Amino acid sequence: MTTPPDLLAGSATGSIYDLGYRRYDGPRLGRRHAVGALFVHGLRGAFGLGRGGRAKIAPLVLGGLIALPAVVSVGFGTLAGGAAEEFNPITLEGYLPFAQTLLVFFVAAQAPEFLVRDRRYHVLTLYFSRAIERADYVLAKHLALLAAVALVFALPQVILLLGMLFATPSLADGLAEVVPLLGPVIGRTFVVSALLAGVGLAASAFTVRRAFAAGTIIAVFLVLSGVVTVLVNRVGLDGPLALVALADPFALMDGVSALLFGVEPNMPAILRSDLPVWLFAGAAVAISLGCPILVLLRYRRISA
Amino acid sequence: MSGPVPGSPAALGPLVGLTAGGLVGRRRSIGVVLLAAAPVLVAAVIAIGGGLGDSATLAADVFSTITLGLVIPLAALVFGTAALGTAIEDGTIVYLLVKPVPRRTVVLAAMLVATAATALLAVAASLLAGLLLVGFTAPGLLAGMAVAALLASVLYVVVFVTLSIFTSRALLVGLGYVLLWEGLVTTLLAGTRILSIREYATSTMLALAGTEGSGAAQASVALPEALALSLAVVAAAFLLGAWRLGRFEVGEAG
Amino acid sequence: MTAGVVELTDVSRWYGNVVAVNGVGFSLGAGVTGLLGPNGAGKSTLLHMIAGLLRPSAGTVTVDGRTTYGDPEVFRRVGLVPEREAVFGYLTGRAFVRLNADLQGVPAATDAVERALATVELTGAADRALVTYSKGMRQRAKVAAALVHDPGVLVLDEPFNGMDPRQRLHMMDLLRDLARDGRTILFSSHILEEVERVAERVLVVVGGRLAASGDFREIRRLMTDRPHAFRLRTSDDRALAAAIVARPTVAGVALEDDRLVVRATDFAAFTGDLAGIARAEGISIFELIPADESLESVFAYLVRG
Repeated sequence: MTTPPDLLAGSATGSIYDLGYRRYDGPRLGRRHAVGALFVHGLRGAFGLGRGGRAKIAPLVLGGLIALPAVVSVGFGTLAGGAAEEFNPITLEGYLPFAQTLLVFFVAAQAPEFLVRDRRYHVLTLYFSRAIERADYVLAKHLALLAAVALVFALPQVILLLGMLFATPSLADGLAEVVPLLGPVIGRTFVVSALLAGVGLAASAFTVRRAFAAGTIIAVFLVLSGVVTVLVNRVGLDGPLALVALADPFALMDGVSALLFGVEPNMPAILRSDLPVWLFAGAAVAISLGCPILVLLRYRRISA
Repeated sequence: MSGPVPGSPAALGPLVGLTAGGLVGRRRSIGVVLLAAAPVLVAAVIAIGGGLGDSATLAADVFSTITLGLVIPLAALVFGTAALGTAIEDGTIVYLLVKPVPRRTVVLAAMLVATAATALLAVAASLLAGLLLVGFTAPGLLAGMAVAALLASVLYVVVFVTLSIFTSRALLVGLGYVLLWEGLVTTLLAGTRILSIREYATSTMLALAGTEGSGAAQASVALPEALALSLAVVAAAFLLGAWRLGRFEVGEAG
Repeated sequence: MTAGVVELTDVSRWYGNVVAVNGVGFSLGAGVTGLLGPNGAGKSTLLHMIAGLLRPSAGTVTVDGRTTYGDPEVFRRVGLVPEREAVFGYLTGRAFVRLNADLQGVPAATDAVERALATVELTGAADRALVTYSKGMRQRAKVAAALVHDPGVLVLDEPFNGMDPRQRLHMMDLLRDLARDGRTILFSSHILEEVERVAERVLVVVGGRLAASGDFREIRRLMTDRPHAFRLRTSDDRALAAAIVARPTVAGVALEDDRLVVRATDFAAFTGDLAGIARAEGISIFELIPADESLESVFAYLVRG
């Protein structure tokens, strides 16, 4: 503490002592850095990093279960040899049905954490009084969840690709087989993750209770898919009525898969509605783009 | 200062009013109404598009998979866990606990209101969807669906209300029950179906529908057992809930 | 209005390994008593035990001779104003108080509700939903709800939390009026000025134990093993300081700013000494102020010790 100033007898002055408080005058990392930090924070949080033990259980268990069929398939292929490949139902192109329900659970478990907590405890003010704009916040959160889902979905696909790579006797043959598949794999992973993340965050943007958001996400996927499947199996869908099939989110994902890999779709909604496959893929992309916009509009109106 | 002892009749009214007022939250209600509209919309689409197959079987199918399988449990989950759950979570349950009102009355009020809300939507959705599909040609099926919807509403709600008294994660546990137990386990393991609310309701519906709509769903649990177990579920849920709320202690401010 | 009698006898409450309340005993009658202590001292736990919401792990808590936990009759005699802010927001003020009246089984509920609302001066706003109330209004609504059944004991958990000074003054006046009617009022706080101004009596709780009870000035006086500090303004500070530092009742002197600060070990003896010494030296004393007899120093001393 510096020396106290002289006080004139009888005058009432006050002063603030210099305790060594210093302003920060150095360089400040800008908006891009802040958004990047938000992205990394979200991505880490999706896997429970930096959040304590219990938060890691769900993502690890679900991630493991999603990758499990791939591991089984590769193991099966290695043990049983090439001839048995015909009987192996687990293929790269057709991997979605094995993963999709669990991916929905993953998003239902993690998406609410991204948005609901900040609103529930009223910390949005802290974010928006920094260099981050509302659009930045929404975008960063979306990208983070998208990246998380993509990682989880990519793992089994990578396992299968590696299995294919090492199944052939020569590395060159293996690469020739695998490299053309990389494009479709990346594309499908990206679109499917975008769709799941979009719906997940859209559902989380309107409620302050995490369990409610989780339930809504699960309900949206399962109810829509269930309803459309029943409809498609029971009704003759002619003309405009066939568009109902587009309401099945799992069919949309299947459409993406079929389009990119050039294989036949296997969801009843696509098969029985006679709609072209690219329509489903296009709808998937449209929803993936529309959801962030919806969330953005919502966050424009939130008072923080 | 000391008035008449507030037994069930006197205090139940205000409690019911209070719970009802709390359940009708805008967003929550909109979501559940939309959910209940699903089977009606499906039925409308089928009716317009021309269904494939016998309309009674169709109606029973729509009811089993959509209404009974998804709509009623989810609606019951929303209303059942909110009836007492929100009050427990934000601490306002204190105002109900420091009153000379038997705790079982509080539980009863919550169960009544949540059941009424769920059943209203469930029965309306079932009847509307059924009427759209079969008109008045299959009264037994309609009656069966309505009664099954009512029964399922009651059973799911009382279970979820009691769940909300025991844990703050009732919504998640309830979701787990609906999706994992009734969605997966009972589908795969036939022996577990004796412990499934969906089966009790299905059994009731089939009993009333008779030959109408047969072939859509099979009764895994015989009717007398289904009814007896339903009664047991209601009694057990109520007694457990009342007991747990009676031992509720509010310590630190929360 | 007959005041309720609250008696605690060697009450303890633990949650597993954590002891929240440890061997606390006191009895209360009519008037305002303040329960003072830092956060986590066990104040809420004590209040909830008195209200019948919590069972003591050991000891007995009685109101009018009846054990509080498990006896529905106790709920008629005690009114609790909980700390948590949340109320049934969708109800109007009047409906909220009316709900409490109905659940208590109050006869002539409408009149009781109006009386309670008038007592807290909420009659004007009573038809608005609680969610539109300011914090102070919500607190008053909670007090009205706790009063509607005319209890002999009123227990308030941190009632001044988050209130602005004007609201606080209103609430203090309200509590004093209620006590004057003959009720037993117990409120908790960790803010010393509040307790100082309203409570006739103080219970100091630290770490689950009752550290002191009674009038806070008395408590202070009882702790004679700690030096009392006085601040004097005299005609010759230095000369007086030199004269009194020789006395055994003086633990230390200091010349600060233009005052003389004296630390005395025995309050009573020192004041007697001082007059004599000053006269002998021919020094006039213009001002003698106890420097630390506020609740603050009592509190600080108890917490540190």
